[in-house]
Amino acid sequence: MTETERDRIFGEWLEAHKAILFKVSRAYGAAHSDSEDLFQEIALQLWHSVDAFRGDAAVTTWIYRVALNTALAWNRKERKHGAGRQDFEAATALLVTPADRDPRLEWIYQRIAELDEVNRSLALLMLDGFSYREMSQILGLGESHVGVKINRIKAALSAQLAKEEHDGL
Amino acid sequence: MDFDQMLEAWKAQDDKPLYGVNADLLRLVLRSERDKIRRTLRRDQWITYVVGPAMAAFAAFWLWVTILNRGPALQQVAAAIGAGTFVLWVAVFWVSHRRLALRERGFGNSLKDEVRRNLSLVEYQISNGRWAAAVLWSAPVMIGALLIYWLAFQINTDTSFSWWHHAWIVFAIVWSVAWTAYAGDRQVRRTLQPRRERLRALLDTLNMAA
Repeated sequence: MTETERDRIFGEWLEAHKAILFKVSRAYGAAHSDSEDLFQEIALQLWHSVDAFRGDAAVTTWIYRVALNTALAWNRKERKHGAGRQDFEAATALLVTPADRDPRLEWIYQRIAELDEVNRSLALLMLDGFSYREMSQILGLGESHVGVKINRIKAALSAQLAKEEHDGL
Repeated sequence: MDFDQMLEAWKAQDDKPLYGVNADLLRLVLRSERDKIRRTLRRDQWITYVVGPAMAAFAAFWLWVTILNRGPALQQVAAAIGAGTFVLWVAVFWVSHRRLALRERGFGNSLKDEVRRNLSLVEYQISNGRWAAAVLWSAPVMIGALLIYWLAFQINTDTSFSWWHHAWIVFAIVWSVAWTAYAGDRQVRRTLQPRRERLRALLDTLNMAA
């Protein structure tokens, strides 16, 4: 594959599926500046992955796989090297957060951020309507295991929603 | 908010992403391109700083041997030119690298400056390619002089001299020099010049948009 061809495919993927990159980077980036760094890292890895894509899976499945793997690796690296700067970045992130964000979306991302790494990936895939089979392919988990975990995540989210509804939040 | 409303809010975000995509995408591509160029430059730097002094030392050693053995003036001149050329090669590379680093300090973080930074790197690569080709073409002079010395030595001392054997060596040397020069020139024409034009066009577009 020539470089021009790879650039073209990457451009098309990014244009059509950039929302996936935004969602994953926001779910795994603790602060706004983290999200931007992670977005760039995912996009870079996606660009590198174009050659390896053989069309065995759907493009969205492939992009999610690359994005989640990158986010997980990035998270591990950040935990190792980024200790001590999270607070500072969280504080500066407040200054650049757009005012017109949907509060419901903020709530969902907050709940996702509270989950562990695997459940966070599963929650993202569930919200984007992936089947259990697709989720198991992307994350390398058993289909029944995925089903159990998804049910637990749904139950936890529903319980949280009901509680906040009850509390009038 | 119930579960369905949550899904609805989730899906709605696809229409309004977090950041302005075009500028970010452009920055990303520029950074990625810059990283790639810097990797190539680092490789070239190591090759130059290792091969250049080694070749200069070899040429100096050859000069010393020819002077010691009272060799012909032609070989002494060729050896001196060889040593000087390689020292000059390393020196020019070092100076040009320093100038590039100084030039890079002048660029800021705006999108236009990011483009200018990349343009500067590509122009540096092009000029380096031309300089390397010029140095490369001085190689046949030195190699030719070395071969004359070698052939004269062989003819005077060895009766079992093989013309074919030496013809192959000459052919291999000439072919490798010609091929390296051609490959460098092709890379400039096919990759670097189109990249420079693309960056210039991009800069013009940004200037017009401002």
